[in-house]
Amino acid sequence: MQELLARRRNGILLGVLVFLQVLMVGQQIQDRPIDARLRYWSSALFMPLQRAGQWGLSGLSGVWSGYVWLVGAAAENRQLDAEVSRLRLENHYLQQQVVHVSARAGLDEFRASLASRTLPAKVIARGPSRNAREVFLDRGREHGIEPGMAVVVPAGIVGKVEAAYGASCMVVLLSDAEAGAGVVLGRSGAPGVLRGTNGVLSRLDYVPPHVGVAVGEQVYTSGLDGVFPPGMPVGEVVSVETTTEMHTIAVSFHADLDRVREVAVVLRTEHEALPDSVRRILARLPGPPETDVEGELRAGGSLDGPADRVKRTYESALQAQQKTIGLLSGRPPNFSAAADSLRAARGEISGAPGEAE
Amino acid sequence: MTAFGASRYRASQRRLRLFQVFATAVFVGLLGSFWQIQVVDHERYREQARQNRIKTLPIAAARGNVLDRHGRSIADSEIALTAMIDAANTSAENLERIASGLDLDIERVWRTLQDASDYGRFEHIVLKEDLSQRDLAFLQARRHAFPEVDLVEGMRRRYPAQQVAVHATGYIGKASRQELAMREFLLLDFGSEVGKSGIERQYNRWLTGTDGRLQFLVDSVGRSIETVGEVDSVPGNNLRLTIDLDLQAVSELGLVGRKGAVVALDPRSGEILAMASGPSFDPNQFVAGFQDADWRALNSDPATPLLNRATQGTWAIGSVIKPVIGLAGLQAGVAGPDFTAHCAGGLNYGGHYFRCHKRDGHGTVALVEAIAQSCDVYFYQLGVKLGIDVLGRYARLAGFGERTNVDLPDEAPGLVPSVRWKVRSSLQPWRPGETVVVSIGQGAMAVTPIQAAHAIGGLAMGGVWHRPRIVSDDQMRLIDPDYEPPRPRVATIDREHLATLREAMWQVVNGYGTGRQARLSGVDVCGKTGTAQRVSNELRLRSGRADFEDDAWFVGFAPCSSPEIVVAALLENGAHSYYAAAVVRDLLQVWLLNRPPASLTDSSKTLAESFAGLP
Repeated sequence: MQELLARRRNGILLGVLVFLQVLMVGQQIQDRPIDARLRYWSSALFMPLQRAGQWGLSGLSGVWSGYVWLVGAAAENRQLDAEVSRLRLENHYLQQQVVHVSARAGLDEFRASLASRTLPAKVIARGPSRNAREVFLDRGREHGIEPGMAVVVPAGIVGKVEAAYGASCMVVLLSDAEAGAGVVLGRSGAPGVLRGTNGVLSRLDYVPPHVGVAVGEQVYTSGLDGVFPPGMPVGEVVSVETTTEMHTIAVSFHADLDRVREVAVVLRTEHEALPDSVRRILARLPGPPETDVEGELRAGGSLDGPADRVKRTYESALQAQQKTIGLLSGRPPNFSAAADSLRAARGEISGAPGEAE
Repeated sequence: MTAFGASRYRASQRRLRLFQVFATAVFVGLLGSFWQIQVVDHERYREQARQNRIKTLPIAAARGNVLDRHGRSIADSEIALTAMIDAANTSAENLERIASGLDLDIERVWRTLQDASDYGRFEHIVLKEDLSQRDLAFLQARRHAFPEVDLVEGMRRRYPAQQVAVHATGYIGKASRQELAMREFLLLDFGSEVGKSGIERQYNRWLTGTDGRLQFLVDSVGRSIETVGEVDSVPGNNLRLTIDLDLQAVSELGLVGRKGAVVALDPRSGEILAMASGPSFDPNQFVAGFQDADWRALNSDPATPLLNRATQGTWAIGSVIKPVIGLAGLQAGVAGPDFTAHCAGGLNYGGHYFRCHKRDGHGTVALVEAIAQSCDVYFYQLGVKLGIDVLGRYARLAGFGERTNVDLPDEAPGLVPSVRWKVRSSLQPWRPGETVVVSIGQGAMAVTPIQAAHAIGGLAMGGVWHRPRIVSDDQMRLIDPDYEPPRPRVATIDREHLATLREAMWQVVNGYGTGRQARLSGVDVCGKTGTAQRVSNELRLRSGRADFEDDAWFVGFAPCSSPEIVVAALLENGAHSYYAAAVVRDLLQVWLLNRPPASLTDSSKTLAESFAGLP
């Protein structure tokens, strides 16, 4: 019997439940009030089940209806995203067009103001490596481009054409460590050579150590390199370290070499008297020095040494007295002051002539 | 399988086998090549690769500075940039572009490369030194195009722009083929700089440093990546001269627009205080490198600016010889107080009339007056009495006719004529009239300005002649620890005779003599004037040519009683000796201003008291 019960337990339990249900239905059909106790117990027994069932059914219903709604919203979202992207692209394109038109207009204005003959060009590619210091332009040999030509923008010089192909050319930017340009300092007119560093700043070398250099000083092309037209803006001195033998000068470029798009290639170089368009860009800055750089170089090649100073001192004494060595008439030249000043310079006597205690 | 199919199968099998054989052969060949490259020729390729990866550049050693006696720099070195080329890795097209950009003569560049290759040099050949800002800008803007060119920091010799002590200091330049073959320069490399003249040449070894070298790792196109080795250069030694820049400067200002020389010595030691020669030249041109045309122009300039007239040029000394002839007369017992000559403006001798510079004559004069007034007739007669052999002996005693052995190169010996010399040089006998002209420092007699200063300085010192030198004994001991100062040449001369000569030379300046222009307040100056004819007076007057004008001399020393300085001034075509005397006066003024006050001579001291101090 126990074996039978154990084997048919589920069937028996189901039968009992059906039987009870039939009883209860029968009771309701008889329209007799259910015993309160039975109602209480049946409520206590079935209400949690009913509540759980209700909750499950309503949950399922909510999930289902939410799912259906979500399917529609996602589709709508995708559509809106696409629209936003399209509008963004359009906006970007229009902005680019504005920049392009404005840059082109600026470049055209700039080109028109240059004495040098130039050709407009666009940057169509950059060097393959991440730190590439070269760009490719959409102009080449068939447009008259040759290696060695300067590439400039209104803000300043950019680089030099290193190789020219049929319809394109490669330009090495000034920031390349192997690139350089002959320059002059705006304040003193002292010449120097600008060299790239593969970084955002460049080095200004070979400025004579006796020349004063200040942070903020402007740097212009000297034209001595035979590549860049003289008088073009280059950059600004951002740091100076000076020893008795040399300056260590860092210069920032005015032209944004990493983002340059519209450029002018200088086909024939002329001396540039800083154009108005450039002056507007560099509103607060002085123009390039008006000095003859070559002349200055010739005249100031070497500084006087001690021997020069000694000879000049005696020569000046003669000139001041309007006399010469070996004069026959009148009093011979008087070298007392000259000799005293030179002895003072050697530290043999204290103080210069004429100095009183 | 049909017969046709079997045939195709066999054919394809054959082709497959052939392909296998071919592929095997290719692999065997490749393996063989790898073996050859990696095993057999391993060392060779490794060395080549190392050389390709490592670039060596020289670090130029600074040449020692040349200083004056107070330590002031006369010649120094400054940092300059040099363009060097790797000839093995350039092309004719590049070379032409580089030469054009650096303003170089392409033919000269080719010659340089050829010369370098003759010495087995193909890299680090100096293309241009002391690059200008234009050169630097040109090269820096084309580094990509010319990777074979390196910019190297070198040391550039710098001489005073005012051309100070040019001939004494000399100049440096690239060693020539002949110099590289010399024993002295055997260790030098092609392109090395050596002293070419003056001090630079004489003390080249002391001044020259030892170059260092810098080694870089380079990429495939020769661009430097990093420094992998460095050997520092060793600078040359400084050289302190006996030159005093104050005196040197004034000497040179005295020669502005003139041809001539000024030499100032300390007769007590032989130290050269000033040595100027005019016209001068800019030695910096030799450092920068001459264009052929410039070099030809300088070398063929009729004014001979490259000649150091102080030591390398010889002239007739004129009447400056008279104290020496007087000494000969005194020592020979001929020119005693009782020996006088009557000067009526000239002397007939040997059928020829020899004029005195004073046409109306000096009257009767003895030795002191004859020297003071430079009476030619007196010395004609004295010379004839002594004879050329005695004149020659005393002239040589004073140092004429042989090099002073000053420590400067290419000194001229000058000439004291003799009977033997005349016969040897011209196969002609000595004529008595020649003795007459030699006795007033003319004719064949030829001296250098440094000999003139040396001779009169030695006389002023009482017959003690110190070898002139431009580097002091102290400096020489630094150069050579075994250095022994040269002993002075000492002659036994009667003190009274020396006093007579000194009195005569005092009278030249301070009395009734011909050298009054040299008179100076504050110190007694003694000296002797000289005017040497270049051509006969008749021809000079007739032609009116400036280059026929007489040469003017003055040799003076001060203080008379205890000489500390002797100065010889020669003005070519100077016409009158008083111009030379005035130059010496101005030089002595500067010497006096710079002289320590304690050693000032009391100019009020009588001559007799001064002579008492003679050695």
